[in-house]
Amino acid sequence: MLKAILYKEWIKLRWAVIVIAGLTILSLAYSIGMINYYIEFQGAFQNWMYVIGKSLLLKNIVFVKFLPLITGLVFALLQFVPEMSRNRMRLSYHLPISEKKLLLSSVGIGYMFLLAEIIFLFLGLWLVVSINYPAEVVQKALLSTIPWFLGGSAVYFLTAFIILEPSWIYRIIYGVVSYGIVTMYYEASTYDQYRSLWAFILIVALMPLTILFAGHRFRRGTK
Amino acid sequence: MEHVIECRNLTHYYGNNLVLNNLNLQVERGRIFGILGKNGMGKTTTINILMGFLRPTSGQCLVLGEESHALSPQTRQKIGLLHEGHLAYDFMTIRQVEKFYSRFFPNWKAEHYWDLMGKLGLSHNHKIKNMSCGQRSQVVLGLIFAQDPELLILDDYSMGLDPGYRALFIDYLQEYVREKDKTVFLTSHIIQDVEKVVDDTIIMGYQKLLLKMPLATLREKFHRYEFRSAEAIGKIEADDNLISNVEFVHDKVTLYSFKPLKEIKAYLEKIGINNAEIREIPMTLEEAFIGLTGKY
Repeated sequence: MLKAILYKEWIKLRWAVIVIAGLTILSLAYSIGMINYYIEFQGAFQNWMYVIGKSLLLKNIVFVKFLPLITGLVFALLQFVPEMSRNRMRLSYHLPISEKKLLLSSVGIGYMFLLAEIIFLFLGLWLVVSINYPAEVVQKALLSTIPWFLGGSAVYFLTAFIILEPSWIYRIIYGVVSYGIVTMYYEASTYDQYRSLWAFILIVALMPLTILFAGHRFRRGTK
Repeated sequence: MEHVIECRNLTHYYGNNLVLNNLNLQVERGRIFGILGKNGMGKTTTINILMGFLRPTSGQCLVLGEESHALSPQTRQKIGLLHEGHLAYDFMTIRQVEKFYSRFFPNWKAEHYWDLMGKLGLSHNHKIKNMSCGQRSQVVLGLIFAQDPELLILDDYSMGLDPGYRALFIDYLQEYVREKDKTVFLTSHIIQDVEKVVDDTIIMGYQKLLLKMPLATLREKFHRYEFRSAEAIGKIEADDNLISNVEFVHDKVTLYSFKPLKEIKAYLEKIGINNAEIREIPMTLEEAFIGLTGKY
């Protein structure tokens, strides 16, 4: 049954997965171009001051920063809008599988694809930064991307939660709260601004539970 | 006698609006049960409760022995559900949707599905969202038959279907159900179709059940009488006892009743309407439905 759910989610996501993978490659190519540009035109010394002194490297490469967010949003929309239009979620709830298993596996599969894209981007960035900078800079720069990847994950779960909620008033409320939560992951502009990422990781880890809440409300016929 | 569906004292409010008022019904195994009623009488509410998408305000609804809002996956495997509007995964193709569903049902009978798909004349890679309502209904019906369920719940199966597709639907349903001794619970607005296929029926009125009986009994016991009398206007009123409904068109009076002609004649004489040339007019189920529920 899990294979069947994977099959269904893959049908909805396959083209987006391919397009996002293509965008990721383009973003990485763009990143190489930008970094080389900074080195070429700023000069190596000034660039070093910029990267070490101001602790900035990837911040200005907007594609890299927001690609996980866009990916999370697109995947959640593609997965769950078709399920909720015309109450089509009823089809899934009537399948001979428990409600919790159904929702968690649907979200789990979507997140698996998102995570694959995030890991692909992360490894690509590692390669890109390693070309020109020493290990200490690479480590700092990559650590600075983790809140963005967590932000992308948060956007995926929260978008799914909002779409699965049957009441429009609640959707608006959740939307406002979600905006506040997601913003937290994009506030830092330099390395090490987040003292501890564990709280942010925990928040994301708990988000799938919200899906169960929305699903339960739909099942009860709450409008 | 085994009851596949059993509702006891089912009551439901939407806010302060009472929609179901102590509804009691039982559906026996192997029967086709039709639920009829005008819009807003609670048919969809009853179906939603049966399907587990609505918790009743009070009362109980059992499907295959389990509470309808908490059916186990094993029990849901035995229920074929047709949602209003022939809901389907529109983003899938004919081939993909069969492949998806087949993995959930160990007794999947693919030949039933492909038999119906063969009649569509479409490529198996044709997306469901690009189909007409009638074509989609065939896909949904094929999936239900392939599932080989014990119980079929069909919510307004005729919605959006032209006469051709409705006839195809009924033909297939009749063959399938009779051959395999299935139980069916359906709603429809097309009464003449229901008449061909249903064994038992309930007709729902405003906050009450108007009728609950086998269709054969309804045909035998529910009568329509007509006569002409200008003096009858205002003298005859419907009640729960003798006259189910009365209609006046100029001096033509039409009475609907479960009572025989003899009793109706006696009643008319009692209220001073004598020498009325009253006669019984045969009626279809649709006319009986209108007779019970009224035209407006």
